[in-house]
Amino acid sequence: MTSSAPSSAAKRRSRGPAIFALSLMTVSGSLCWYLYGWETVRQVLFEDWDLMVNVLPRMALGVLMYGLLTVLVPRDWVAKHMGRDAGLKGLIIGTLAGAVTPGGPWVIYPVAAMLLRFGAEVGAVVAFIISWSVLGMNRFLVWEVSFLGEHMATLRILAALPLPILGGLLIRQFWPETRWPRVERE
Amino acid sequence: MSVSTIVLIGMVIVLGLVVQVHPERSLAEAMRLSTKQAINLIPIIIPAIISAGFVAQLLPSEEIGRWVGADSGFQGAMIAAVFGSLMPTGPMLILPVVAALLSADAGVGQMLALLNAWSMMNAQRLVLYDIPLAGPPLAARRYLIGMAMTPLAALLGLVVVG
Repeated sequence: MTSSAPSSAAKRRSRGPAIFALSLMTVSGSLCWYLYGWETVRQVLFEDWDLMVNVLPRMALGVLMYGLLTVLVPRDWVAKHMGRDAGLKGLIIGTLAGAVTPGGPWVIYPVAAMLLRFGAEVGAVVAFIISWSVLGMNRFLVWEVSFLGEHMATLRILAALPLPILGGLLIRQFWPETRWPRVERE
Repeated sequence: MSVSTIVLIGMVIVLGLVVQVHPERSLAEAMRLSTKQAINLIPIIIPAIISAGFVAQLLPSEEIGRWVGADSGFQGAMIAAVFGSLMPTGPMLILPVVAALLSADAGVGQMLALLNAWSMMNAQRLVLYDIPLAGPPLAARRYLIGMAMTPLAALLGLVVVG
């Protein structure tokens, strides 16, 4: 339903990061070669190979999970249980939904806009957005465990645990009844 | 095989079965989305992994140890958090950089603060996505709340490490 991304943002996304990553590789590689010589570059590439063998299978699984969750997550149910009377429950549901919703910002913001329009309360929606950004399970399993290791990635989740609910409470405290603009482009 | 890989495999199997038994959900649609996502990711992830090694090699470890090392305490965590919130990048750069910083004597709690501040306030996302997609009022308020919670993120990073 909302998975069709706004085309301009989606296009901007598809090329930029790849070009960035390629430039980063070229620049950092050249610098290494210039400063430390060819032997170091070769050694680094050997170490990178180990990392790649570790990351790529996990990435494939994460991508599968992304597709499956996208067709599964019952977004209208979430909206119903994140309404004005939901209280702390709304914040908790927003947090859980944010943690399991896969996809990048081009998915999350249209979903957040949809939730607001379906009558979800703003604190719960903010908890949803913050939770997606700090607790996102997909990113945790695919990116963070691969690069940081299980221990460090788990510590990070623990340190982030209170942030979505606190964010929701703060926005309820300071801007409870703001009129949110209609979000175009879905 | 690590625990998280097993969890991931289990989740994929369970989710696949759930999609399969729901007549109104399409497994083919899920696979189409996955393939599209994979095609998007491959040109990013491979150069990112290769860069990770180079960046680790290039970082000035002594300097970093002084600013955000394990002994740098709350002040170091705040420096790391502010640095994280200013990083204009997605996970493909920040994670290799953090991995490299960790091997270059940065403190674990400080790096947790950096990652969580970056997750909440990623500057690139604010400009590219938050403002156009969520609209300036919601984007600005969410960002302000992120800023207000940065000291907490720094503190939590330290607390979790103990």
